[in-house]
Amino acid sequence: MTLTTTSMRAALTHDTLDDLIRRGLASADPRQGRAAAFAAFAAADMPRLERTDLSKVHLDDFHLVVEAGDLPADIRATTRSEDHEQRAGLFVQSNGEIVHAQLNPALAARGVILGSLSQATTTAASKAAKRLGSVVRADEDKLTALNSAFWTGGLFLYVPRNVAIEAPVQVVFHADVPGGAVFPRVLVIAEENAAVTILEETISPVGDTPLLAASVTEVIVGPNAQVKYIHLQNWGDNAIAFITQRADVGRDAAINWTHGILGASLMRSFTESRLGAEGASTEMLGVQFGSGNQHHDIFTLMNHVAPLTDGDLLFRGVLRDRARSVFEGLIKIHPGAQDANSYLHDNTLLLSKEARADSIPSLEIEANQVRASHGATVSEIDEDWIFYLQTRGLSRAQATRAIVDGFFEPIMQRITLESVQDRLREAFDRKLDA
Amino acid sequence: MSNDLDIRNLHVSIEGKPILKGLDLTVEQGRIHALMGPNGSGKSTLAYTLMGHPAYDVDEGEVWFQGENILELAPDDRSKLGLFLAFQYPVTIPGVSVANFLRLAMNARQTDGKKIAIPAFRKLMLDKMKLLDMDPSFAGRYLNEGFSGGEKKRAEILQMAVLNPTIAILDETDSGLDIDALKIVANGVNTLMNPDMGILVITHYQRLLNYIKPDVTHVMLDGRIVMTGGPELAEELEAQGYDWVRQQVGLAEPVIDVELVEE
Repeated sequence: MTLTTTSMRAALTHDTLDDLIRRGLASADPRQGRAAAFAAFAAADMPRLERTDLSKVHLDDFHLVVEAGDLPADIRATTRSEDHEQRAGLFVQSNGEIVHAQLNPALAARGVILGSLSQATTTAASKAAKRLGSVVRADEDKLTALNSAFWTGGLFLYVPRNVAIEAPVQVVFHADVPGGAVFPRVLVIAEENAAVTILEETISPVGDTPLLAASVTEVIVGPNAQVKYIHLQNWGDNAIAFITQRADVGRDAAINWTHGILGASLMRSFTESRLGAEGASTEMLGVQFGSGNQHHDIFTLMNHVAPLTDGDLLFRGVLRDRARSVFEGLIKIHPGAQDANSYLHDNTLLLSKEARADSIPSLEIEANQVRASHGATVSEIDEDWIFYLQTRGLSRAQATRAIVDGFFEPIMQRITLESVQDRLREAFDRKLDA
Repeated sequence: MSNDLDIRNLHVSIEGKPILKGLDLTVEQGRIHALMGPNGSGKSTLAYTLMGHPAYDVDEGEVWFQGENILELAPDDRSKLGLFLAFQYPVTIPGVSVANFLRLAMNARQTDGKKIAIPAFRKLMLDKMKLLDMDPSFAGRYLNEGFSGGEKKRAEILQMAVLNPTIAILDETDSGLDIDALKIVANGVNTLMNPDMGILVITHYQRLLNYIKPDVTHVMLDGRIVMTGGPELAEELEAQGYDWVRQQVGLAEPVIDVELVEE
């Protein structure tokens, strides 16, 4: 097999991986991690999910895409402006290449690092190399193994001790090759008493030929640190997306995950907060909107390993057309995790008779002194609400929009970033107009 | 083109069961009409049918307003023509504030597609709230969520004030209200009443009519208007009861009571 240096489209094979490494596109692999990851990928079966059929996803159909594609105009415009009030930094990766990585120089001077994860992991002794793969192991399943073998570029964000970053760090992963496979990879380390907000968006143009995105995000939240990770899943409606995100949360530290689940034809996400030290806490917020034939399978885990840990999850989903959602929310409280508090609420609103939602909240509690509760509802839009709003002059479409906005409102109020609220509302409008 | 609401020979059924059986009624601009009748006589069916609720099937008849037979129109188009219904049981719309809801309703009726400017809207809303003696904090609350019976009805009258209809239908606005709340709501209606507005007050009891004085009173039995008179008719009805009406109009058989037993 020959590969050109400017353009690379190759099957997801061991030869391709060797070539990536030889050409320095994949990091120097000091611990032979990639070879082991490939072996794990080759050995594993596709995950078997109870309510999502992955048997029609053939990974062999996809080829690796490294070369950057054509970014949408708004992203290109963003890369040209350096508005440090709006954002602390900007990282843009297109397919397998980083096309932009820029940080407020004032933060760089304080030791903050925003840049290529590939470069940050070339030496085994580096901070990044030591932690990469420690939060999400390569061999967890076939897709984490696939990502761990083939990722290129990647974001490394490091926030040193006592540094609090006000404005969000904006991250974009873009893909635009039909039939291509992309492997976004993120490692965030927030040291003791640090604070940072990451706003990640994944985008691709709409098309007919499927595109595969298998991403892995690892977040290490040091003692008393605060990390807010906002993830807007806006892949095009032809994308098949596998998302694995986990935060290891230290003593008295907090991770907030905020999800906007909007795109992809088929998505499986797994988001975990591992509350491994006393006083660790997590908030998980999510809004999901499925339309057309979209299928979103969302799995969340609030994993209470240590005592005095807190979890609070609120997800809301709206489905129209023939869209389908599966929400599995697990609260797990280990034997040692006394005095844990954990709450989970999931509500879904169906706008059509053909839409379907399954919500399966569950508790695994092995400690005897905890407070935990969960609740889930799936309801159809109430015709009497529509009629009432119509009698005030709103059209059926306007009435539906008002009801959907109202339904998402409790979560929108907890998403404090106005720019994120705006992005989500735009997306809802687009979905309702379609 | 008339601003009166003209109902002609209206027949309406629900799931095949006839409820309105040839109803004729004209509500004139500048006048308050009271429509009285016992439970099950079809009062609320009339209100919902006039606004276009999809569960009610119109089998025969016409309703003319602003030069159109409005039975062909969607509920929102009827609203935009100037028809308003204050609901007996207003629904709760979670997450939608009173202010936001009113703004959506105002924007929906802007004919040029433009939106009403927020400062102008705020002023309009706060003026109307003041007129109805409502606390400004009301605007920020989610519509009808956790509202008392009186608050729900005041929210309905606030919507009427902001939308300023030509013809307003008040469906059992007195139900579930204590006397103080009733007076507040009635005062609101009286404040809004003007020569360009016609009001149809639907009620089971005469009580509300002590505070909202009708020019005309209609009595409804078994899906038809059976008596029409002046304000004194409401008082007579209060004194004599609906059986007196049945005897007067030769409907001795208490059709309605049979229906109630079935419920």
